[in-house]
Amino acid sequence: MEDREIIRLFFHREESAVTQLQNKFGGFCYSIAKNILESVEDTEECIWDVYLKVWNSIPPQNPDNLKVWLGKVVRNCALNLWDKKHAKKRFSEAVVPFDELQDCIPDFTTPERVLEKEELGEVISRWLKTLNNADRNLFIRRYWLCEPLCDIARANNINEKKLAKRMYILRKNLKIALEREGICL
Amino acid sequence: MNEKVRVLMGGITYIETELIEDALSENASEKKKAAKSFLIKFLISAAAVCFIFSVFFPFFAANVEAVGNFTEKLMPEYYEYIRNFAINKKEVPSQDEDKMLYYSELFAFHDKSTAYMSANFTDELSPEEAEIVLMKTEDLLYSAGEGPIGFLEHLGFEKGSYAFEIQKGFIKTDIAYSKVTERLSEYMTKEVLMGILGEYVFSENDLTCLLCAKGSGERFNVLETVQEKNGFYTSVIASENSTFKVYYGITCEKDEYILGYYYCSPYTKENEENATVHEVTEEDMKEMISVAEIFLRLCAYMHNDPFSLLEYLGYTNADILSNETVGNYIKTSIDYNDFLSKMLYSMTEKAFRDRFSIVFQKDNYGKLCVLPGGGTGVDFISVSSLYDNGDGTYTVFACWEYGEGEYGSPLRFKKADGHWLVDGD
Repeated sequence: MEDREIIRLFFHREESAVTQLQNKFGGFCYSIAKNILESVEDTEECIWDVYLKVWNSIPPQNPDNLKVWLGKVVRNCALNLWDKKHAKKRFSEAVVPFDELQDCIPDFTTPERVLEKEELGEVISRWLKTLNNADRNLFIRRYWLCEPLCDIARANNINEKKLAKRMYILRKNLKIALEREGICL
Repeated sequence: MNEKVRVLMGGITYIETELIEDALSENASEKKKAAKSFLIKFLISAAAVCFIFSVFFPFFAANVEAVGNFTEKLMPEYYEYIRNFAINKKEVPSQDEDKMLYYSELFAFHDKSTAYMSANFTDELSPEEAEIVLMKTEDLLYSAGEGPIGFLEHLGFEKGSYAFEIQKGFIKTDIAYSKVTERLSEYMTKEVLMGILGEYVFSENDLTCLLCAKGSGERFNVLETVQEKNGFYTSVIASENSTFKVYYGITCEKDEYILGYYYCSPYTKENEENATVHEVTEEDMKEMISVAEIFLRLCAYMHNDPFSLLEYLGYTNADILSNETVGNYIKTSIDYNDFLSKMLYSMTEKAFRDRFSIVFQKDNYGKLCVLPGGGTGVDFISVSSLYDNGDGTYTVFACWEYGEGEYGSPLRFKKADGHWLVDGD
């Protein structure tokens, strides 16, 4: 079913909208949530939160690109759930991509510019546009889709170690870009 | 995840839709390709396993027994799949593909199946033909470990049928490069060969075949300074007097454990085997870290923006900015040798010897050409080795990446007045 048709079902408050959404994007949502949360139970809990959130958001929202919009909803729900579970110390280990992102944190000790998430997203987008396609996609796959490094390496037919080195350079690069903009996280 | 990382993750969520769309569409096309390649890979590994089973079954049975239940439950299932797939040409149910791949890795066929993956393998290839490919590939890999001359002989280039010149670091022959790749294509593609033996085993140079070999010419040179195989790796740092310091260790998941190091002077197989192993001290670690840090800092500059690297090296905007272009490059007023000497001077000698990147090219008049940076598809990857030619000059193998391809070339340098200069160029 076309994305527009699914959105139309949501606008008409037809319950089949959720089923269609699940049929078309269930795997996509599951993989993002699972890559962030790791636990199957939490992933399933997150996915139901996502569907509820989508049901409550469309209308009034009418996303141009349903898949990307949905991905953002999944990321937000998964990160919120992660926070919640982590606060209760139900997670013993940090998820690897989170650990890696520590490399991107600017060294400022005093706040220079504190940004909202959306603004920070714009800064990161500007930085991404300075990269070539391959690096841009690597970054998005690793830190937006939260795909495991080994999967990305396999898909790109490159050695995992080499990829890790490349990702490290990218993260350092992002850190420089954030520092140049005087951003404090 | 600390608060700052959480904020960053939140920001990443709001990356522009168009950028994510691009990544997702590329991802989808890669998955299609991967699915196709998986089937080929599986077919090949299945055929290979069939062959190995038929010959080495008693050996495998002994090993498999040690795995306990695996013998009784999973192995027959695996074998059945292989039989169905390779011989009866039945599809493996998609839900079982991961399991099959896991089994094949469990049996350490991973490397072999990778080797076959790009062999001239078609759906029509019979198990008997697959056996031949298997044997040929294994022999080829062994011969590669013996040295370039043995390797060439294995490919059918008899000793005496070609002229060659042994140079420190590599052997230059008059065999047409295309002839070598033609013979190799009977076994596997160049990419697969490189994946197994390391990168840049071959390079094309004026239609002659250039085989890079480590130090004595006894072994192929892997131009990555870090070599990894089966979880073990070595990392080489050359010292001031052409003595190579080789760290070795083991990789366990994402961690690397450095177990020790030894010296080789020169870097030959014999010296490596007879070397005395030392424990790693805090000073050694500091040295390794400093090499890595300098390298990464330069990499970050180069990767981000060649102009920022030039500024880092002390050039002003007046030196850099120019309206003149050469192809996709911008021609500056900077003297190429001056740039290179500054570049090398900014690194420690150890770092230079260990890893070196060429970000820039020079034009015919010796001026520096700045290559476009991010967004243009040009990336520079610093992978290289340095050889002491014994006459005050050194040969560096610099490798770079352009789009999806990777290239390498040897460059000669000499040291004068404390600075490194391009020699005879």
